[in-house]
Amino acid sequence: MKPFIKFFSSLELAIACMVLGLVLVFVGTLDQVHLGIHGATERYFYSFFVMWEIPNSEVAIPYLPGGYTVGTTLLINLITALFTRFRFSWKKAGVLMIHFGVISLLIGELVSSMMQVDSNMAIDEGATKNYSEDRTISELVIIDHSHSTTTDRVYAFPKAMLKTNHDVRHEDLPFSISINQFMTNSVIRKRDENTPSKSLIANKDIGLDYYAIETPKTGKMDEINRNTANLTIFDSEGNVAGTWLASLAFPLQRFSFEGKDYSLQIRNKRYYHPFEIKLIDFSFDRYLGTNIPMNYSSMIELTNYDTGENREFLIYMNHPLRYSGLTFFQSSFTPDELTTILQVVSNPGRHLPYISCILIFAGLSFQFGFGLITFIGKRLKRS
Amino acid sequence: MKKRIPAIIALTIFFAYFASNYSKQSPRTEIEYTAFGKTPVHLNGRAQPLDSVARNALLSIQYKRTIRDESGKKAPAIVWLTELLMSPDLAHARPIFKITDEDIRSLLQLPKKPSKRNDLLIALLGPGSAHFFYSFHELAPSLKTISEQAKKAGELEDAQRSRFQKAVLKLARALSTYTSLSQTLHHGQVASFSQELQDLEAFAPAGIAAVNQRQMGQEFDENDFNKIMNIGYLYQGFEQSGHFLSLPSKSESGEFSWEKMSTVLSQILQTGQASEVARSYASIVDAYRNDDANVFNEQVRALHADLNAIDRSLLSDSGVELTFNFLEPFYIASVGYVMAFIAVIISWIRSPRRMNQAAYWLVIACAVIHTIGMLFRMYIIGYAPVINLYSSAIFVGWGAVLLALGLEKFFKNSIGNATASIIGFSTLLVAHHLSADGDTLEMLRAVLDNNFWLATHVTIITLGYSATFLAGCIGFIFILMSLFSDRIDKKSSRAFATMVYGIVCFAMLFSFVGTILGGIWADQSWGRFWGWDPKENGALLIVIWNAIILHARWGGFVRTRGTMAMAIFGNVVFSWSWFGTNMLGIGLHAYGFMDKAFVYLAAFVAVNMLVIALAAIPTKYWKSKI
Repeated sequence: MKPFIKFFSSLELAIACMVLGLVLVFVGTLDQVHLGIHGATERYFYSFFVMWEIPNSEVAIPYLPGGYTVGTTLLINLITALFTRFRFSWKKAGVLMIHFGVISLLIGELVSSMMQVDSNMAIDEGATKNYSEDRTISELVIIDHSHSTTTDRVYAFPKAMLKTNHDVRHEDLPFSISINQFMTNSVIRKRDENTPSKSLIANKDIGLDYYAIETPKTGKMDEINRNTANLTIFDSEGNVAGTWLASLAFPLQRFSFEGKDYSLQIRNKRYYHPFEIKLIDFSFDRYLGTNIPMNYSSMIELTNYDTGENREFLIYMNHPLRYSGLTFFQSSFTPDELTTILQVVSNPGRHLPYISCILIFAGLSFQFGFGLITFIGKRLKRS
Repeated sequence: MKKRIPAIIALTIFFAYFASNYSKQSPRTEIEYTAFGKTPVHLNGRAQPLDSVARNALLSIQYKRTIRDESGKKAPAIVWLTELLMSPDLAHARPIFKITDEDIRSLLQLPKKPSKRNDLLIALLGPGSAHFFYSFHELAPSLKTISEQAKKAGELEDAQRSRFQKAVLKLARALSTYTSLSQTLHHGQVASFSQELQDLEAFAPAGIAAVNQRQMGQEFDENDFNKIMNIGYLYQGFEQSGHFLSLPSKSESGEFSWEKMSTVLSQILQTGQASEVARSYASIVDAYRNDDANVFNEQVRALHADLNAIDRSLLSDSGVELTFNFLEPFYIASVGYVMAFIAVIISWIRSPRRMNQAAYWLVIACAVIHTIGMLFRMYIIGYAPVINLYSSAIFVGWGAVLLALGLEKFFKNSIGNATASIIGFSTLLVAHHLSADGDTLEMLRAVLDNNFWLATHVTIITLGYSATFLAGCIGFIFILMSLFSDRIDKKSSRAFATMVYGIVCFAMLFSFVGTILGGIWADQSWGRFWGWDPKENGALLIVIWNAIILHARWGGFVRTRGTMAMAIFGNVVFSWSWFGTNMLGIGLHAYGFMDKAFVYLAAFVAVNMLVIALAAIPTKYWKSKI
């Protein structure tokens, strides 16, 4: 046990973690050019190992410890060192505060990386929404419109289940769905004489007129992966009901099965909220005589069904709406300036950094201030 | 007293240069250009004196803030701008368009001009090292070709553009600024602007009547109708080409609004007469065209009286900016830093004490001027000191100079002076190159528009950058000095080590607190503390690197030499965070993309890595015994 503790509490390990962290952050930042901020974060920072995929093979080998490994090791190192090596004295109170600050920072980021949920709410002027969408996660939904007179029933199959030549089914659905082809990113083309013969045929709805071509996956912030699937619905006896082309780019496609109304669509994952937001007005102000943006703002009206609360709020730059644990900030808008795009963030760990900031600021000031005063005192004595 | 002589002489020379530079800003001509240059106009979202418009426009076209007149004498930019605004035909003959790219010259079939650089040097430096200046008249036949090529280049993303395409785009932008300036105060279709306004005032009732009658379906005078329509078309073009807004007005709530000179037409149509300001401008234009200096000066005074009648703050604010332009504080400070560095070098070779004292006082004088320049900028724009990459360069230098002065005060070993002068000069040089795109007092983009966070997060983190850079520079000097000279002994090497340690602690404090404050700003605005944005990551790298230095030192893994080498690597990390991350062109902080700077960045990194490699030479080969 002793050599074990000695290893985990050592200063060498702390330095090794910091050096690895340095390399990781640098390489991860560079790769953001290719993967986008989100893609690179998932690969380098929110992972245990950074994998290198050997080209033209399914094999991937780790070549760098990921953010989780480095962060957790550092966290263990800090905590064991505090318990085993640290002897308290007033002179070292600053050091203690700094390291507690770092511990809370690391925990805060760990909590955020696991629990932070980002989504988007695009609202047209005058329109109302009660859900936000995650642009990075999509799902195949089957909506049962005849479930009851007032509500539809939605069956959602997450993207992870949608693989080429795999079947998906739900016990309450009277049919099964066979994914003939799944494309993470694609372009949609209209069928004409140039349509490649290898593109799969669909015999229902939009798929009659359009087909999809697979394109490379993107991780860039301003681009989306247009998920598209060619799928066939089979009844319980294995008879074909039809083949559809479903895509993130398409609206709902309705169909009926055994006398009941359904529709299908690939869409972004939705988070429904117990309140709704109406966009009253979006405005984009520029500095006089220029195109430099001075402010973007969305005047919204929030209505909570449960509490009956109703209020207006102006969301603008550096001034988000915080409501029921969520932060709504002005993120973007459409070029016609009629639709606002609000980013919706839920982050249970958001308060920890405030504590870290106070601890680290006080600790560093105390420690270095103490050092500086002693140093100046010595100098003055000498001269 | 005798000891102070070098310091007194150095300061006298410095301030004499300062004074002579200031007096050079006002040309000794009959026309009072300085008074005219003080006139406020509205451009880039803010009111500014014409003098600033002139300097920034000339800089973006010619890459210099002064022109040479026919006799080869230097003249301030306002002389050129006045001519371009009022008598464009004269200005069109001035060779001010700088074209470096040889492909553009051959495409446009521009005549080769004698270059100041000789052919051998050009061959050595490669294509593009020779620059030639062409006049608007010389470029006029090729305007169509230029705009076609620029359109093609404009369709590409910046990273995909070739050197030629980038150069064409720049040229097209310069030409567009130039031509729109030439039609900002007057459209130039008639000789006398005042006469034109009088005629318009006289004709307005008849013109309005003709339009109204036609609209009502009544009989109307066709000549009057056609005339007013032609005037309308002319002013529509005038409206589109105008570069800045010159006619201010004040609403009852006390807010200013500005309009282009072309609105004089609607003034006349609505009220029957042109505003006082417009009329004064018209008289100034006419006086310039008639070469009548007395009337020109008189009318400028009249214009200023009109502006004062609207609000006195218009001219007093533009006067402040004019003073700032005339002082050229950052240019003067960079000259002073060079002088201080020379003094330090002399002190190393001979007469250590006195020359070092001279350097110390020079650095203090520069720091004061540097500070004054920053205060002027803050007053003019109304924001905390760092608002863009340009101002961050100024501020990084300022912070490092102050810290270095503090070191000098304590250690009195000339290292504070040496680093202050090197960093002061180099950061101001970087700032100078960053200013080539024009107005650096730009309005803040919406996302940054928050004075509290600009004042805290941005200034604190920038001070962290300053300290990291300073520690690196001290390490740099230490390695070179102790390797190649015998000036360093055990005692002075201890002093170096203490200095670097103290500065790294300072860097740690400011970069760490600054980074976390940035996270808190992000949480306040976007509900997330950390977004792994390149600039955030860059700041994190600085924090981690400083922490590594401190821990390695506390753990006894490195001594003086190792600490120095690590501090030098801090320069590499610093340059990456400061500039490298902006070159990636992604994320919320990507506000200042520059491609040419990549070469300089790479060179800076290479030099620092070379010195780190030198530090690895075993100490028995070093000239100093540390």
